[in-house]
Amino acid sequence: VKDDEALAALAAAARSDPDARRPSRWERLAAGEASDDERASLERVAQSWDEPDAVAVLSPDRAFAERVASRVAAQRAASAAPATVVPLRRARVVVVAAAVVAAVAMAASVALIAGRSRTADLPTYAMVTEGGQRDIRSGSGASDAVVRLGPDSNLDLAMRPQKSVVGAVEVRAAIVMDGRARPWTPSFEIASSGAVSLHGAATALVDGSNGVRDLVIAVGRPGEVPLDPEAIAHAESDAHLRVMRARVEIVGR
Amino acid sequence: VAEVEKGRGHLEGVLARALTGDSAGTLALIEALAPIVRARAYGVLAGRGAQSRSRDVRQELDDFAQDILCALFADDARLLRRWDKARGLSLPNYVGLVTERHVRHVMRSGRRSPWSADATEADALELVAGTTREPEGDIASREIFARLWAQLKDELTPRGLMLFQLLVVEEKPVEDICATYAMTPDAVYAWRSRMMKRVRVLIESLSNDRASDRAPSHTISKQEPT
Repeated sequence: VKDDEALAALAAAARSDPDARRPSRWERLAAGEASDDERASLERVAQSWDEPDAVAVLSPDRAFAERVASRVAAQRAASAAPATVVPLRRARVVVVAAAVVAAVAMAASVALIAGRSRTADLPTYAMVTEGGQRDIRSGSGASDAVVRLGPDSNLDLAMRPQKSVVGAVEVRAAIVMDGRARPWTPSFEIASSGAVSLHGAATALVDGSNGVRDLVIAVGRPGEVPLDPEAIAHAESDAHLRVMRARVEIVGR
Repeated sequence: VAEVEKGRGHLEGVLARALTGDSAGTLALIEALAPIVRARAYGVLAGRGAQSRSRDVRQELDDFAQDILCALFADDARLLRRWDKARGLSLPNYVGLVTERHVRHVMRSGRRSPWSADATEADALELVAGTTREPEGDIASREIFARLWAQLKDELTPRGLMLFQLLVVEEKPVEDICATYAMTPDAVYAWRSRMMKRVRVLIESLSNDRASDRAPSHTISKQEPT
């Protein structure tokens, strides 16, 4: 059989297979249903195609589905009831870091005002530090000031647009530490004005060891916010994307 | 076939529960679809070869998979509700298609896109669902190549299945594949060459099996006249 004929016949066989695009054995691996033998077989397959990491990358993470389910639940709740801005507390806040933020790598776009333009330019956002008065315009670099957060600190961030936003926005955030960016996915609030806020115990919001890190929060039009944490970390503000940065240090853990 | 049908029926039941907002049904559907989403997204991401090795592919895959699964449920599960088995795609294949298009789009644009227009246009889905054609050739050779396909499919990675679809089934030009999937021509040609080599080995092996299957009956037929 000539190569061309063989390929044509194989293509025909694949077209007749309704599940031609489904790598069934790999799906079983990703579902945690592969036996040890099958896993070993897939390791050999991966090696033979020069994809040595395939098995490790696709092996299941037990908590993955639950993480997605909670995101979906949050998404449903957000669409069921309009989000509101949580007022910042003045007293007893060890650190009110400025603001903003953001949110979510959890993602999801929230339609703020139905029926209006979804593509209009975003107004400038500002980070506001309650009490400390540190205003940082979107697009600026990380603040020189480092907000120190102890084990009992609260972290309050609010990112406010200069005027109400018309249309949908979404928020994603990243933490940059030691030159490496990773997703940051705290719960956040998006108000109908487009303001984004975050409040909670610092230790719960910013996990990890002691040390300095930059929080990078990007608020943008749906589809305009980068997915990759590295891309968020290096993003610059433009008409459809506003990027804010705050530097925090975790101490005394 | 019965098992497959039973599985499909079960999945449709889970889908129906999830669409009511039931949290257990939602979790069950996510658990059922996550492996499909992960495998298909990986197939596209892994195509980038050296590029993908410089990144945390697993983290990237998790991000994509989470976004895609959440997007399925967004806007009152608009994307899931748009699935119609009458169009020919099973739910897993529909989700796989949505996944692949989304990952491809993000790779091309560098940014996530709204889900409204690009990834799941009904026309495009119908087009894909309608591409099944009868294989050419006689029944015997069809059976041989169906077996060959089954064996090859088992030996391909998700990335390999994607490349097979593009190169062999859809006959896309290499330059188009490179442009869309951030691959180099060398990588595509090398994969094709390796795949072809494997196909030849499988054909030879199947031919030998066939010859040995025939041998005993051939001997008997020779003896019959005596």
